[in-house]
Amino acid sequence: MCNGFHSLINLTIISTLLHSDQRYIQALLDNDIPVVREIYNKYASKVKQYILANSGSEDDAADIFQESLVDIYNQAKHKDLQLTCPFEPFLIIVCKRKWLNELKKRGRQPVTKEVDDVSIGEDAFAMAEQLKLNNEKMQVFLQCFEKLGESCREIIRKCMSGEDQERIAEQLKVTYGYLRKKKSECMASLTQLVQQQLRTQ
Amino acid sequence: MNFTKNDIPRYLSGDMSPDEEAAFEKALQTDTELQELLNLHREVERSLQQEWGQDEQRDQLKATMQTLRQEYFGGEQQAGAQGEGKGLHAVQSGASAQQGIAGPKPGKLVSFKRYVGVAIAAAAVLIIAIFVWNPFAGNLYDKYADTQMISQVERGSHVDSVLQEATTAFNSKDFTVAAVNLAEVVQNQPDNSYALFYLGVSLLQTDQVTYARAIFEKLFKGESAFKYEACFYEALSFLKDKDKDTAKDWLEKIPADAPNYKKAQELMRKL
Repeated sequence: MCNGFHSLINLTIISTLLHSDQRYIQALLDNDIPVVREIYNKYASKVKQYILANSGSEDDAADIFQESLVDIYNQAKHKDLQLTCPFEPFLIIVCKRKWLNELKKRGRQPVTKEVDDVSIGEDAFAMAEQLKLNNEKMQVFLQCFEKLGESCREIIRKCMSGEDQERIAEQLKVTYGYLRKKKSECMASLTQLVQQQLRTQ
Repeated sequence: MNFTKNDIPRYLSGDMSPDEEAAFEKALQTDTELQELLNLHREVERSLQQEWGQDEQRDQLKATMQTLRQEYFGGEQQAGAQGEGKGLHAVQSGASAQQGIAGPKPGKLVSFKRYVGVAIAAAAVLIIAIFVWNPFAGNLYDKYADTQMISQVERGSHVDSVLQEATTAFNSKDFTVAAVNLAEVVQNQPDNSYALFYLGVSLLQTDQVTYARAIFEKLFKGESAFKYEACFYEALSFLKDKDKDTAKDWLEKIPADAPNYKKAQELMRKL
């Protein structure tokens, strides 16, 4: 809090409104349009500025911003993400890492120009690291999936979409029992591939 | 009995006989390799379900972001303009069709009926929100943000006298003192939405906008008598920042049967 304010206000705010920036995470989960707009309003220009300064286009910036928010959404939905730091440094660092990764894919040199006015604390790093690890793991799963035979890929993909398995069996013109057996085998192969891959990393 | 990776799916889908299942679980306790594979199997399955399963909320969020994209990242050609093959880019080529979804539709609306009950019970308290209307005053924010606290019945406890001090300070527009006092009340009575609301107003008046918003949003999520008044002040906080669009979004969340609906509509027309 700034000058003239009693430390009591600080205390109160900490005790009653712990991690108030969690509301941004909630807004992504609820598609709360005014608050999502607020996220764009406050942070889009910083991310844009960073990416433009580091050999990207405005369109790149929009993609990175959007994909980062979807990553955060996924992390919140499935891994119960709790903000232990303000939202801004966390978002900035997620976007930044995503962009560096993209540049690497395009065969460009990593960059050094930094984002202005954002101090990034340890918490933000730790949280972004967690998100990155999850993303990397997902990439391993998907890479291994691609190594499977065509019929396995089709079965796994369909079964994971949440569609009714009896209907899937019908579509694929196999019996339900066969589908289940085949799915088990395919998943076992996939898990083994993933295990091998993770061990060599 | 020896179990291998091929037994894991049968175990997970409950296809083992009770005896076999018991044996499998016993083996799990000593066989760390099997344990590891089982956990990995679960993780892979869960992750792929998340990736490929239907997620309506995620689709809605993407539609919202598609609209905001044009607003905040300029009107560059999108939908494959760059053809980098990035997931989002490809998925959202139907942007124009999705715009409608992301329009002025409020994110989520609370049950009005539930609110009516609370509102009637709290009608007396709501009178607090008397607006001093001065057509010759400065800008819209100043006109609408002006409000008064009403003295509470004096009961003589320490907290009551702090609240009394806060009221006096607030009404003489000494918002810094009011905030300090109200913060003390809120600390002792975290459920005192009256004090919390005026703490929010005091913070807003002293330019502590982030904290003020946190308070208004907390109240808006709750079911207190200040639910919609907090929503109105949240709108004002954006008006203060000259962000009329977000201000309007918040004003739209105030339903027709809320006591401050007319005021909200009036302000909306002026924006």
